Amino acid sequence: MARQNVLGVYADADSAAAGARSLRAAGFTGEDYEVLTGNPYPEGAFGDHPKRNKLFVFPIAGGLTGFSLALLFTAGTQAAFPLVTGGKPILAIPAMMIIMYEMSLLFAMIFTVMGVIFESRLPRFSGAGPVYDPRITLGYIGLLATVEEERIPAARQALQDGGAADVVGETTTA
Amino acid sequence: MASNEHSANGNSHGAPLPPATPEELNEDLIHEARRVGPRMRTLLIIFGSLFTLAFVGAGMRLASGTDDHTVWRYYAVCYFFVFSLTAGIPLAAIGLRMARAQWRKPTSRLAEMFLILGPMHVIFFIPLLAGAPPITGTEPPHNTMWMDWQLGPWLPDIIMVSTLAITGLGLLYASALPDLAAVRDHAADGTTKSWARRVARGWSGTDRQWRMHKSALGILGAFYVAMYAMTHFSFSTDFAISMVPGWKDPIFPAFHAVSGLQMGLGLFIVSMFLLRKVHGLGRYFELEQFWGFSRLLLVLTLFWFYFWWSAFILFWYGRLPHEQSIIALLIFGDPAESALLARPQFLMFAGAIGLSFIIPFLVIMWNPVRRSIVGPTIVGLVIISGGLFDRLRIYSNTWSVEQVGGHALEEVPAFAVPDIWDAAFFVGLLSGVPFLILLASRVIPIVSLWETREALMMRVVRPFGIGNAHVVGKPD
Repeated sequence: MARQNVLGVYADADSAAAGARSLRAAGFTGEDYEVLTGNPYPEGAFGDHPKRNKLFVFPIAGGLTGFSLALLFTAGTQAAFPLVTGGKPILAIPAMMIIMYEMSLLFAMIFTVMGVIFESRLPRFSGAGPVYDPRITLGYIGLLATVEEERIPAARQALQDGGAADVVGETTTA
Repeated sequence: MASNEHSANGNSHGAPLPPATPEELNEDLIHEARRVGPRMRTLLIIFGSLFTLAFVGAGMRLASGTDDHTVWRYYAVCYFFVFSLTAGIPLAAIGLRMARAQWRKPTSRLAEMFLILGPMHVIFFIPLLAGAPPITGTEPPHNTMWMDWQLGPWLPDIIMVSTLAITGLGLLYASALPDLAAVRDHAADGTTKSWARRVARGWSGTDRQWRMHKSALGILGAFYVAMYAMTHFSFSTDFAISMVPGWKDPIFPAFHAVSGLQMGLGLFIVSMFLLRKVHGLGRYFELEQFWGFSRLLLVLTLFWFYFWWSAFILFWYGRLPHEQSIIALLIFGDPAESALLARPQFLMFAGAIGLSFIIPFLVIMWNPVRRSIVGPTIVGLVIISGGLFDRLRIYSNTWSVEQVGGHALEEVPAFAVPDIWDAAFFVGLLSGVPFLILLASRVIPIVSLWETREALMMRVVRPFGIGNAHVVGKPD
């Protein structure tokens, strides 16, 4: 069933919290709406459902990739041209460790940036979102309800009842 | 611009931050602080023009040849001075963010803006590698940690500096993303708005995005710290210790990193002062921030001496011939030459220890000085000068050693005067710092909008006893 978005814009945290309570009182759950803010708020401040992310996987995967490539590269080049220096082993482990450290961090960092972009659902080429209000980056708080088409009027009413400065937008998303 | 009279006098009674509404923050940080007025345009033109001298100086140095590394001595001095001065500053944001220090919030972006210099560090490092002595084929053999590996130190050092730069840019981008969205939404001029729309596309401030943002700042910050330490280790090992036969000093890389942090913090405090006075951002860089950073400056000043002394004492009491040569090279000069005060090496050392430790320590040890805005700024300037003497002492002397191989330094090389291209490179590279930061500040607000707003939101003043107390919320 097609889901639509409606955004309530609130002037401050207290009225946004009232809007969230109003949505819950109208039968919506934390899964039905998300909060848009211009700065981070304490987790669960508006009763929204925290979404888990898997960002930690990206630096681990990147680090392992970089380490493996560095190991292959340094061991490979030394094994390909074996030169005994000062009676030391062909594989110069202390020198190799520096490359492995650097490559591990380099790839972990690149994977992390990719992970941030992927997990943040960016880039969004159509703009800031299906329904958005620029006042959010001014300190206003948005409650974006994404619900079935027939529940849009109820969501709109709940957001309005919560003291929204404005209720904007209705776009079919899926 | 919102009034900053409240803080212009230093706010020495610990008065609270002046209340700022979201609209005032927006006006200050998105519009006023980024306005390109005649003064800003003039500064950009001057620093931009001077910055080209760095390319001229580097080009002329390359043209002078790469066979003799000693002609690159002042290029090395300039490069490592500017690198040391600027690369450590972001740690003021990263470390204090990790420690959850609330007072640093308005200052974090300024510290992170220095990350924009990463590509400059990479670009001017490449000619330096060309001018450095080879690690193989010299007689006696050049003692390095690379075990005659043909690709070292060039490949690993290029990877290292590039990784540091990329990590820095990633961190700056992650940190600035919410503010770029604010610029996208509210910037007055079309060009900036268009740039911001390109880079902040899609940021809407959802809970998922904020959680990701927080994780990214933590992870990338940790990577930057790890790379920072590694870079100082490699620089000091490959381009100082290994250039001098007989110099074996495991403490020196740590000294190099700590002294870089100290001079970086000095520059950071001076930058805060300039933004207060020139840019009118006094309400964001208040006494509280100067006081907090001046304490760190005192700690780093003590560390400077601790690390230097720990290394020096081994050479001083070891007194083996090669150790005495190192002391002569880096501290006292050649005893056979002339009176102590006439030896360039000693004068450089005196400048370094006097301006990096003795004077700063004697001044900033007093609480009234720390608890002021002008005091830490002056000490910061002194420390920057000390840092220049220190890098001059280290790199001009080590790069003057002609025979990089062997077991002991045979003689202390004579002092050489920098030429015109060295001076051009120095002026150009130094000018590149304000030029690139001012340029970046046209798109990225130089005070973090989201962190400042969060700080204001989490801080209230409540009556307590006969006075007022700040109540700071730390939600996580």
